[in-house]
Amino acid sequence: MKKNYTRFFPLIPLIFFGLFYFYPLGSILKLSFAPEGKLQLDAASKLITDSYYLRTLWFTFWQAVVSTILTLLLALPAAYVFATYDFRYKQTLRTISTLPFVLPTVVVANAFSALIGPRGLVNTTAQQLFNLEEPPIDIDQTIWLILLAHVFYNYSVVLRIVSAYWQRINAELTQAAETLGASPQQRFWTITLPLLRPALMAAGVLVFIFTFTSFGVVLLLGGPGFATLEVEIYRQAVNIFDLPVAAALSLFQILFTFILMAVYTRTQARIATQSSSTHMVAKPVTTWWDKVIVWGNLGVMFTLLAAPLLALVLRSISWVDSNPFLYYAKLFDNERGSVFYVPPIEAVGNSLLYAGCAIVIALIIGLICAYLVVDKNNWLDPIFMLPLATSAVTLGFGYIIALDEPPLNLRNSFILIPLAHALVAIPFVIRTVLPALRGINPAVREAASTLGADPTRIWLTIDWPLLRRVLLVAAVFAFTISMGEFGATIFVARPDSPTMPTAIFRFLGRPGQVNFGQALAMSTLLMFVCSAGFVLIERLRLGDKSVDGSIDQGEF
Amino acid sequence: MSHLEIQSVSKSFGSTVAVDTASLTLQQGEIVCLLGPSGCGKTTLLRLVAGLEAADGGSISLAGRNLVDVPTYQRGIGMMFQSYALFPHMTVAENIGYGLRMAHEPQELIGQRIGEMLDLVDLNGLGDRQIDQLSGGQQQRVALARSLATRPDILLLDEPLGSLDRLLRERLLDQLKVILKKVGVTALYVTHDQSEAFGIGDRVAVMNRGSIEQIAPPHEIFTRPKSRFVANFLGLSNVFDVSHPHSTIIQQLEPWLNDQGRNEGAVLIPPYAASLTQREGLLLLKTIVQGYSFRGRFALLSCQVGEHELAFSLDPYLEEGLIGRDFKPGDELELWLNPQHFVLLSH
Repeated sequence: MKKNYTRFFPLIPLIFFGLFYFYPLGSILKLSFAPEGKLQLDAASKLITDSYYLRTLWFTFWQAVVSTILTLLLALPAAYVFATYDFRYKQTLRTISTLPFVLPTVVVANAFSALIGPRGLVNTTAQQLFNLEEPPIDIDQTIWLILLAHVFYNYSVVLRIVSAYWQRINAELTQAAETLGASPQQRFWTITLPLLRPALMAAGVLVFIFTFTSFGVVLLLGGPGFATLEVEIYRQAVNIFDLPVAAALSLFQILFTFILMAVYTRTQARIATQSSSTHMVAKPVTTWWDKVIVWGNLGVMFTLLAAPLLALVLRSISWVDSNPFLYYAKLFDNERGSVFYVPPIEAVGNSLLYAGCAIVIALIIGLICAYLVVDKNNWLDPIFMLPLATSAVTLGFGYIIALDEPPLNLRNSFILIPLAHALVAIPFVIRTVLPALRGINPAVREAASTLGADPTRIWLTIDWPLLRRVLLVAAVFAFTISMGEFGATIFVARPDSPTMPTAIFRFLGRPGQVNFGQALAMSTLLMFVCSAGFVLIERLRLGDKSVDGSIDQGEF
Repeated sequence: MSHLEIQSVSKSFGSTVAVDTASLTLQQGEIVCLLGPSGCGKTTLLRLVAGLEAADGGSISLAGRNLVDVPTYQRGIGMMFQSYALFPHMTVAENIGYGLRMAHEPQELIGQRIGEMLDLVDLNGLGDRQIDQLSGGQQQRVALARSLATRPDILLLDEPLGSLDRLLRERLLDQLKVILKKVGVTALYVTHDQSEAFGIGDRVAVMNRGSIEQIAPPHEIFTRPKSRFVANFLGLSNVFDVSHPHSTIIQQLEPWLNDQGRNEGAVLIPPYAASLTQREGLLLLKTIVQGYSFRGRFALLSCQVGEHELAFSLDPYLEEGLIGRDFKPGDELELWLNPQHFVLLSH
């Protein structure tokens, strides 16, 4: 009798994906090609003929290429250090280096503003020290700040994927080359680098995807002068209100990310199949050269990764006012004429509430999805991964054009934001749960069955205890994703109930030190919340040495 | 002068002593096997010669050149790894030519040498194959060709047949020996397998706890083991302390021991020293049967003498009436031992 219920389980994720993924995307398709019900190619043809859009496309492309190359070049030496040397706190450092990756884009953008923006730590300090009129570092709203933020974001992606792969390269291969007379340089160019190629490819494609679809960083740090496709979709839809063009751009974005995702999946598969008998043994830091390269890299990592975050915390504290926590205190005020109709601190409550709902939705749908694709090569698996390859801005845009009118009018519904967040989180839930699910020996369930357990009892006594831990990890994943989600939320969040990222964004749109200070204070809070989630995930994952990089979270 | 001279070389990893003042010399063209249980330091000694590990003390010289401070890639060696360590991103020919390319040899010479090498290891026509398209045995031969292509002063082999199954190993061992002798290369060969060592080595060096316990041609190692460790490692287990005058077995051997003038150390009675028939010069040993089984080429007899247990292999094709005969546990049995086979062990 219980079976009658479970038969309908597969329908739940299918309906969910149909309504909240395919329907909004279909609306985009309809809007770009047939805004008034019949085929019109105006918007689409505009993209190819208008030089403005071509320039946007070109910029999106080349900044992604440059960001990717820069990240690879900067992170490769660190990957070498982490793969070959053994030093104190190595694991901890590796873990900490991943932290930037889970931070919301608004936080990262603000962290860089706080460090080297016109009102940033470096500039104000230098101005005070040398009595300068103008800030000495003026890269605000330049490509350099964007590139720097992209390197910051993706450094750990390259570091993790490449160093993990590097470690697994059979040490005897380079030793064999050594016995055959290859000098250290020759060994690097003829053996190590060619062998690293799959990992470099996978990391490079991943970084390219992230930077190609970059939204928050470019919107917040680039100013009006720079627009990636994502930013352009947002501007067309929200500022200029040219929905058909926004839809056409989204369509292009969807196509492109799908292709990139397919490429990534293939390179990723090549990495996973690599195995070797003799792993490299990490060597201690002994000679002066060892010290130079290890400490040099840790220095670069600190400057690049830690300094902006420290600057963010420092700048969120008011040093001139009697109350150092002025900006934090201001968050509680409901000022007349402020950006909000409510005290800004309510954004924290909103974010937590949305995150709570998103967790529930993502866990339920994700768990059912995982059971559906537990057999490898199931055709549903790539479909459930689709949200990963869809940009959040596109998704948010799809929601406002599809879900604000009958048959499904959710425009004023509170649930729209958790739905979007859950959709983004579901692929991560599935990927987290699947290995544990596949690890359950079917014979155990059969044994329980022969001992008289009905299907419900089997699930409660066998599956649940084994899944509890990974479900907790998945929940924290969904939580951090929801807390930091910006691209989709900015479309669907109502003005009177902002989330933390959208509140920060609105602070930044206002002039004055107090608004900037509050943006930094809110960013600092968000950073700590996400860091706490990240630490929790790493703690829970401890001992589960699954393939590095596979759990890396995407900020689409 | 010797081709390879290892003198009092030591190597520790933390508090573990891997190689302890080991000395060894190889003549030009000689194949020496380092034989010993896992953890005896044989692979470390090989890697010290290769320069893949740095020695804590001692000296190694090759063809008259002191190797201390010479990095691996300038030592002029060839090495075969247990995993073969073939470069997966290169073809067979590119693998074989790698060392010559590193030495910046002219292109036509490299091509010619690759051809010779493919010929030598009987892989003609497979030069353009990818590594993962080869069988295990073929990979082993590519690894050999690659390590010989540069005409190294010495070839180092680290369990090169270790990852193959037994049957293939027997066949490849013979091929390997033929090729090494044809090339005339000096080789140091590490293995834990006694039959492999005996099959390929001109001399065999048995290692124990980082030192070389005995080095000699295979027949001498087996028939004249120098120590209890060597005897035990070769599976010769009937070893008894001479200094226990009250043990039943020593009492029975006493006349012979007195002739030898020995009252300390140990005596080894090899399993092939026993016979069922009395002959001139044989010693009588009264035993009680514990177990007997016919094993094809030989018959295995275990028996008890006093508190000691002994194992013998009898030759069913020389012992009259042995085939078809059975021994029951508890039966009394008189064995005749040939003392010429006995070995006195210092300790």
